[in-house]
Amino acid sequence: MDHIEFYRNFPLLPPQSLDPLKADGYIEIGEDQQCIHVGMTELSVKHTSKFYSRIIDECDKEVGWDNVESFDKELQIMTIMLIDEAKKEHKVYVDFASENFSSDIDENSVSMEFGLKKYMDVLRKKCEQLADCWALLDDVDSSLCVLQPQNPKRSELWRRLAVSDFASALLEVVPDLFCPQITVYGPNSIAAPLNAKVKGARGMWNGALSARANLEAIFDFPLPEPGSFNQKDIKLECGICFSYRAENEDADQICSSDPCAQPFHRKCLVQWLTTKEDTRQSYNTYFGKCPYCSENIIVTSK
Amino acid sequence: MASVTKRLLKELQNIQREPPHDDIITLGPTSDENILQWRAVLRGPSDTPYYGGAFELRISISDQYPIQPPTLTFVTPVCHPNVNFGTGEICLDILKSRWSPAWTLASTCLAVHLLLSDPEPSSPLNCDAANLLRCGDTVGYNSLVSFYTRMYALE
Repeated sequence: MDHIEFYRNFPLLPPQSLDPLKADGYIEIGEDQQCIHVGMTELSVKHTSKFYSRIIDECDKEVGWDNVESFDKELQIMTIMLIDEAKKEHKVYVDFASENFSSDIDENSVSMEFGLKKYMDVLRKKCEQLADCWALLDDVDSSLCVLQPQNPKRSELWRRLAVSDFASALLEVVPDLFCPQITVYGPNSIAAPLNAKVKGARGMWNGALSARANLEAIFDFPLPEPGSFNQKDIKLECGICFSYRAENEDADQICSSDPCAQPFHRKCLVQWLTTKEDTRQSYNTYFGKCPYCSENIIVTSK
Repeated sequence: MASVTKRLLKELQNIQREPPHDDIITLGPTSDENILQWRAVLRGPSDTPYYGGAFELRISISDQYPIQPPTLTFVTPVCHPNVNFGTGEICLDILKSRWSPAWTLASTCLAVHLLLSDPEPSSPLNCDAANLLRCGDTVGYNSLVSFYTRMYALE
């Protein structure tokens, strides 16, 4: 639709001066015709009024305007509050610029064609499914020393915990799975026995106890208090690209020589070793030297 | 984001949080547009004839960094056995064969700073300076270097 049709649909929203892309006025909402004040700096109209009315309509009937938390200045993103059964608040974003829905529950965005009501239903179902996971993660966040992620989002179902001076554990929760997945990272001499303990304690997770009590029962020693370590104390980042997660992969290739224990991403390490003349290769396994301590390091490319 | 950009932003963050050394006066990208071009200014180390001078380095980073080393060249003319006086090219093993991703731009600059006080006359790019050192004429070497420092590099 063109600008003329747009302005015909919103009689209380006149264009400003000579620029048809700028407008300042009111739009009516709902049957009792409440008005909200709207200022537009750049109007771009891509769809028919039907498309927008459907979303307004869905807001009206399904979501309720009470739950609309805010609009951003450009009127491009509408934020809706979704409250699940456990009374947890989640934000849903309706992005009119890129024409999609997204939320802090789910990283993936969904096209507007999907329908707001349907999308909210999917999210409600997801909340129900993840309620136990979030309860566990909330417990972990408040009682243990979490190194990463620094400001966890609801969609992030993993935590990196400090375990001891040199080791950290990756805890991942999976919906519908009774106990979290735990992997310990650090120098081989520390991480290997701890991982064996985790393996031995499989199926022993007791949902009635706190996360701390469960983990301490597995490792058999007290875990550090929240805030007693920060990220710098425990090496988590890949020694080559300096980031922790790259292309959804952890820096889980750890130099096995003891004081070094430098983590790398598999991809980064392979990339480095293939440029070195003293690296030997057998099929997809590379035998070379750690770029930090020059001790032998072995990596298999996927 | 390309991994090279991510790593360089991390390095920049670390430099701003913890400045690497008093003698590294500036170290950072030349402009906001291109993070692959950096600039450093080193203060000449005390107890050397470079003392009192400020030396500017141009740092070009390839998109293969840190698998490939960065290229450091002196912009300020430097009289040093391992620096080409005309082009500013530096001969330093860690910038070539002994490079490792464990080095950062900050530690590389420190290595260049250290090279100023610890020349290696057996692999020279400036034969005149190297020959003075090789025949043991420290007095001659020092006065030659401080002459050039005063001529080109005064702070």
